[in-house]
Amino acid sequence: MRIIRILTTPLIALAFAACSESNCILGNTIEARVEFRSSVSGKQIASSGMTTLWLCRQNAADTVVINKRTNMSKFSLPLDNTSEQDIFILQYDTAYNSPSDTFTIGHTNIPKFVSIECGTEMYHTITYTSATDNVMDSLVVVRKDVNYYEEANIYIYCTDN
Amino acid sequence: MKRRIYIFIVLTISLFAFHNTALGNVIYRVSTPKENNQLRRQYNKEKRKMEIQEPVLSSITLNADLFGFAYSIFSQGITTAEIGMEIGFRNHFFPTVELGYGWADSDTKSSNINYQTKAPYFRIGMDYNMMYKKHQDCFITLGLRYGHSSFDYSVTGMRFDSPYHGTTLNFDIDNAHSKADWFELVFGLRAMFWKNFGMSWSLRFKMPFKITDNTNSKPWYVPGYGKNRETSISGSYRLLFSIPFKMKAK
Repeated sequence: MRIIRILTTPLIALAFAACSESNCILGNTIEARVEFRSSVSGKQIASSGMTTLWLCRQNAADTVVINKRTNMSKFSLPLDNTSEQDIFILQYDTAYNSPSDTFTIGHTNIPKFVSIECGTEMYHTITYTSATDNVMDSLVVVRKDVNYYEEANIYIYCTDN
Repeated sequence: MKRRIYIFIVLTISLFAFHNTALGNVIYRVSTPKENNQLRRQYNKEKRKMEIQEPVLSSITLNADLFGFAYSIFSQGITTAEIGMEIGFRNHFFPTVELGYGWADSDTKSSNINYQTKAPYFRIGMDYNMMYKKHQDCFITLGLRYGHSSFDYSVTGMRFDSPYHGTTLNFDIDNAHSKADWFELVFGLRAMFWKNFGMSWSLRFKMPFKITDNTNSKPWYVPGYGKNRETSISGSYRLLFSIPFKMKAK
């Protein structure tokens, strides 16, 4: 009886060990978060017209990231995993005098292995930015690390309508 | 004649009465406090005598873990082989050394990522026999371990797609180096079942002290520790070969 107990108890231990848990972060994509801010009050504002965001790539057709969205106060920018610079064109509503602004985001790419269960993640660090000021007043990096956090990385300051 | 019979009866009753009274004095007499202390001291002395019958060096035990091989059936390409040695002191404390080798060759189900490592590890610590007063072959132990492993690992087949940009980055990590130190709380049961052979199983609650990360990764599997988590539970199931040192004859 004693031997049977000793021989069967490892099965319980095996069951413990065989149970694997995975705390993978799911549902979020790692993209730079951008918010429109008022140049006057500094508060978050929404674009009044139809906003379109174009992604410009060298030697390839432009890609639409945001297509004619109205009342947009924030958006996400997909950064290229193989390049250290991305150029975007932001086209505003025709109510504005200038139709668009172009801005550049320089970034590093940090590929990460998380686990066999959760796979990989790609993080970025914003190194520099530049932008035209046709509509926007300025573009400011407020958080340079691009990761799963929902907080904004970049503020685009505009004058209120 | 009547008189003689009467004297005989009286003397017999008197003797019987005296005898009972005398016995009562010996058997049921209440001891004095001084005598009580003496008796207690004598009892403690005898008890200590009994306790030191267990030799200082009570046993040397060699063991081999079978759990690592069994676990490889359930796990994702993880196998460990481990042997150990412990020395029993008064069948009470068991300082222990465990040496092992851990392998991992694991793939993800959804992608082609492969993680590989193989390295030795060791643990040192001590078990405490919670039933040492019973002098039995089957007893429960509680112990602590410190573990260490220094190892290299590789991760291949990582692929990072950028759908908007239409690009893909293929990335591998070759021979990243890491060191791990951890502690284990061990709860076990062991029994000798045939001559000098026995078996033991234990549950191990593992807590990392330090596991070094690298820029692009942290080790997923650490030889000897297991999967790299804040805490983990594992087990061991060991075959024992023990050389006992007999208790001194009384």
